[in-house]
Amino acid sequence: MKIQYQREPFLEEDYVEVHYREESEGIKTIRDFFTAFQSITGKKENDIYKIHPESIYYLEVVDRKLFAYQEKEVYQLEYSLQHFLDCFENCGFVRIGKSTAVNLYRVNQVKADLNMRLRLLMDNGEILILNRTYKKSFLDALYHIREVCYENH
Amino acid sequence: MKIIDRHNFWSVVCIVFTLLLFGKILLELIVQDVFGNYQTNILLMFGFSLLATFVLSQHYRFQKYPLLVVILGQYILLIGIVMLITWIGGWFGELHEEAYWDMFLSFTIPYVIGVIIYYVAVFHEVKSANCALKEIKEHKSRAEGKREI
Repeated sequence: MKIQYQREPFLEEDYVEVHYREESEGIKTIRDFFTAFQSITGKKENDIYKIHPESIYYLEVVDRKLFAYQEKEVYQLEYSLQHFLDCFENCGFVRIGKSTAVNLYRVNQVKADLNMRLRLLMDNGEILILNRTYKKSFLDALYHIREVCYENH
Repeated sequence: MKIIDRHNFWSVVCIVFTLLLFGKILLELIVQDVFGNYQTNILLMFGFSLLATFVLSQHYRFQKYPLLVVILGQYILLIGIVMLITWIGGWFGELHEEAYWDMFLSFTIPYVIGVIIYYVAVFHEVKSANCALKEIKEHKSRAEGKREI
């Protein structure tokens, strides 16, 4: 694969273009890699900020508004939860409740809870409840990511 | 009222059966004034089931302890309560000479079977998930290390 780097000081924004003949595994890996760098806009106290999806710990819908929780900051996103998951599923986001999704890469530990539910202990110390309905899809996503890691290793 | 589907079918059967059984005991008591050993045993079994389910459901509080210690600790607590109830029962009526042994077997056998199935399933699931998380994190940190180089 030929790689070119061009320094253009007058560009308004840095960008990457990938040209390919067919979508191979290598291209998919590059797509996943750059998806993580893709920034989205989040609103906080009437100010607009650029945030990276991979910096988000979890997402929650409150009063029909989607909020993204980073380690300490909270931003409102102009996405629906499903649309966000469709766009950034490759960044490790998976639904854990009707109105909640988590970034699997930010989960530190899983613990069993009463009534066979699972509690997710996040890297920042927060605890999320994994709804029983979504337990299977969560575990499937977790094992799928592990498999992908092995394949790329 | 929940819709009955394949996920809650057996739970619904158990609930209906329990309600019918309680209704029968209550009806026999009211209409025929009957409340003997049979009825007492049924109520005792219900009480023990309730107690065992409650104690087992508290497993999440003991995750930092080894599994075997948790299982044994809960069993000792439960069998202690069962023996205490049997002893108290002896105040109200004469106990069979093997009453304690019978209670021990009646409680221990189903408890051991239930415990094995329940704990193995829960802990295996959690352990597998944590192993996967650990491997993903290790892989991620290796990848980030390579990116920095």
